Amino acid sequence: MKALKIILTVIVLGIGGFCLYFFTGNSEAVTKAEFPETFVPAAEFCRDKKKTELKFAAGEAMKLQEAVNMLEDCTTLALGVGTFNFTNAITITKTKGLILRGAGKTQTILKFNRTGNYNGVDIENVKSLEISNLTIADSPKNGLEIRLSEQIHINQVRTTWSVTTGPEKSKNGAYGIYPVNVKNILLENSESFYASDAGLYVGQCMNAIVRNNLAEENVFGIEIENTINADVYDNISRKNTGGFLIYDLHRNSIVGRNVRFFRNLSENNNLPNFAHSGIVKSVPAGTGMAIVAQRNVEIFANRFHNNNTLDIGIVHGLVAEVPDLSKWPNKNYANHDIYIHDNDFGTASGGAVDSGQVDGKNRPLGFLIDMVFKEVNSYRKAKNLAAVKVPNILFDGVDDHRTILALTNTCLGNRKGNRINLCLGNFAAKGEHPTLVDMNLPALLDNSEEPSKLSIAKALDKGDFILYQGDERPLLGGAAPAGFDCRGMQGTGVPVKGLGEDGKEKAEKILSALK
Amino acid sequence: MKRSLCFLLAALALTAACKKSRKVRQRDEKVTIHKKLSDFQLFTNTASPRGQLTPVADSLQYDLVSPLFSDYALKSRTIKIPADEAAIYDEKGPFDLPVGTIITKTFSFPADFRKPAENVKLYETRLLIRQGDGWLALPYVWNETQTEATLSPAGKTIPVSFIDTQGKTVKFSYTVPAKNQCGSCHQVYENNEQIIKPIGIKARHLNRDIDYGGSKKNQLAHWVSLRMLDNAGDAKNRAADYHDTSLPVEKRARAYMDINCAHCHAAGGAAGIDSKLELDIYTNDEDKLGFCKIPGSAGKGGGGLKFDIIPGSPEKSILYYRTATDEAGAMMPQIGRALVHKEGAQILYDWIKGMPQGNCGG
Repeated sequence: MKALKIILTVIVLGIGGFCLYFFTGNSEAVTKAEFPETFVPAAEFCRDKKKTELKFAAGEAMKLQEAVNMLEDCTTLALGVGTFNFTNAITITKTKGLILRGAGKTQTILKFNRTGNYNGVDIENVKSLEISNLTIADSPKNGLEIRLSEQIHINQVRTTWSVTTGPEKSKNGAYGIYPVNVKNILLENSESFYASDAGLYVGQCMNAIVRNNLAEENVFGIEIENTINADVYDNISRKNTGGFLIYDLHRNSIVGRNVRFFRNLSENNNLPNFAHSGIVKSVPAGTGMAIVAQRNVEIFANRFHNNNTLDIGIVHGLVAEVPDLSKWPNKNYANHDIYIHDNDFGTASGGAVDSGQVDGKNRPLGFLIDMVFKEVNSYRKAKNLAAVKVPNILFDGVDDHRTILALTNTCLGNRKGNRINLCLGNFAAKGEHPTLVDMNLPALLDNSEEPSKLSIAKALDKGDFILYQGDERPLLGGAAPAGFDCRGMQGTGVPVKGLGEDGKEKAEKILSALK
Repeated sequence: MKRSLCFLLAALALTAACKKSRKVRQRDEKVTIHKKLSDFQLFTNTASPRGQLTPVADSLQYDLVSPLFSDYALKSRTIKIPADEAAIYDEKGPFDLPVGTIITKTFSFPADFRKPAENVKLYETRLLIRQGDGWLALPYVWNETQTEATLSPAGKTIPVSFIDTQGKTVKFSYTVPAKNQCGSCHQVYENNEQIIKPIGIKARHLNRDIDYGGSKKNQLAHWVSLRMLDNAGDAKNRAADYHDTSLPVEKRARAYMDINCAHCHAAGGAAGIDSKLELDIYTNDEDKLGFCKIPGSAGKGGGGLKFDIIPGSPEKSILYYRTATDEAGAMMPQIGRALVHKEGAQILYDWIKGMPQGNCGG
């Protein structure tokens, strides 16, 4: 309970900060995006250059280590069927046109000893690299990490760990596939299991296509962090603690934008959180998708099913990460310009917050949601209304002068209207109508440190906490402040020749079929 | 102005303190890489009982004020700068060294640290070679008979056993880094390119006295007198010696992090870029130093803790946890250690413990 109190206290402080922010003006930073305009994968880069191919049979781990440490540009390292055992990372740096290719996703296995202190395949500062058709198993740290690089193609790669249950699982490597600070990346047909942070993590990248991947039994399935221009489609994230996450880290110099997320499946992400530490440790089990501190995000034609806490949570950066404005030098804590439409939501989600293992100390957001909905249901019972589950979509309602609903009892007063540009359109193209709540955390707190029976009842009475069920829908369309016109909010895809076309084509097809 | 005066003095041959003219070198100029260390002819002998290799005449032994910890290995270092050329002094960064410079660092362990000069065994010698197109880092592994070290680009995992200063036997797997791993410490990012650079060849680390065969001299002054360096800079530009218990603990801790962490955790290092934790001696922003900073993605490295540093609470600070643990995947630095540097971790503990108690809003 103490931890919750602290979080809520800082939210109140955060609102004080908002007032200052409101009067000093909004100046969220916009990151200038510079990147190669054309995708040049390894084969293309090496087209007219001298090429070398080296073959390695299973067991020739040392020979492979020597080769990766004495690479010429445009080398293909072809690995045979079987297992290669390593006691150190495979480290690849400063090379161009490298192809590291196994005999098949489950046929070639790079196996690492758990007792080291290194990533499995560790790649830094390379250009035009392909890694494909292999498994990376039991890396002490991240499975495949690629830093500060350009023109990367990851295809048919599996990362996994052999500890699949019990407390030792939290000692599995943090990330499965982890490109960070990469320009122009295609991550496809790959998978991750049992990572103690995120299975697939695209961080601080520019221009990412993430498609046809699978994440199971990780803490978070697939994450897009501080990334500019991404199309994420046809991925499956299931049986993780959380399915998908799109977010900005507070300190990072890249302010993410233009992420499209379509035709993905998020289901049964109800695994108890087994993260060792970090922000991911605070994710309640049963989170289908979370959007934190993001802008220009379009989410459509996805299926969300049977996620115990909720399907989509839209949470302010000051709530989910750090409640201190000074730690957001780019002022990118607010969610805005989020367009969620035409997804397929079942009725199965929202039945058991944090999969029934609510823990205020480690996962205060789960605790908060659980507490609020218990109070909501006792309020409803008193009014002879049926009990409700946590809705499919939850918006925390914490924001500055751009909230959907009224901000009560703050310096801002009641300002109706949708100034955050959160747009929820064309519900229930198929399946059930999604349910939705604008939780309006500032109203729930009512200037106190934590919500109480009284403050929740007051917010419900005043209509500040609004639940939309069945055919009830928020006012959409029209101009702010009454609502919001969703037109013009579509993402634009990845503006790189040879990389972005497939995503654009698929998105267009889906969108035109919806019209 | 300084340069022209120096040029004038040099022309008059009044001083040896001015740098000699830097030859124009081509990008493709390269030192020949040998598979055997002996073929570089950098040492007059192979292993001596003390694990000290004697450098040839135009190569010089050097030492640092505060060294990087590497599993308690004894280290000996040499530098060879081409005749007629000199290093160019830099106040903060590594000296600008001419093409053809070869720096060596040899790692060895005595059988018993209570008698560190006896039964010393050489394990590896790392070379940093200044080629026309930049620095090249190469690992050489010593043979069992201690007669030769051979180029080992893949690195090696070697079982090592020694008796520590307390008389306890320590056994662990010592890792000779693979060639490409050298860049994980010896790196600076410039225009999105990883540039390999020396770490220790900086004024503040070299500004100390060492014994040159019986006579103690300041290294920088000695280098200048040998015309290996253009000038010795400000005598006060000196790192703190973290072993020196008479110094304030903050100074010791900052010096410790500067040499042990800041090659990655700096604005131009990969960890600085990704994690925004910057631990070099010039960083004063408390957030960048980790005060009440929540790491974005420490994984199990976070040890279940929330903040990098909670003032007054080292046991709740990730920065201390990661230096004081030997758990796989959590240890810092990322490479180059399997053992805990107890004395080093203690300095960080004392530093954090001595801060006014904070709670980081939690």
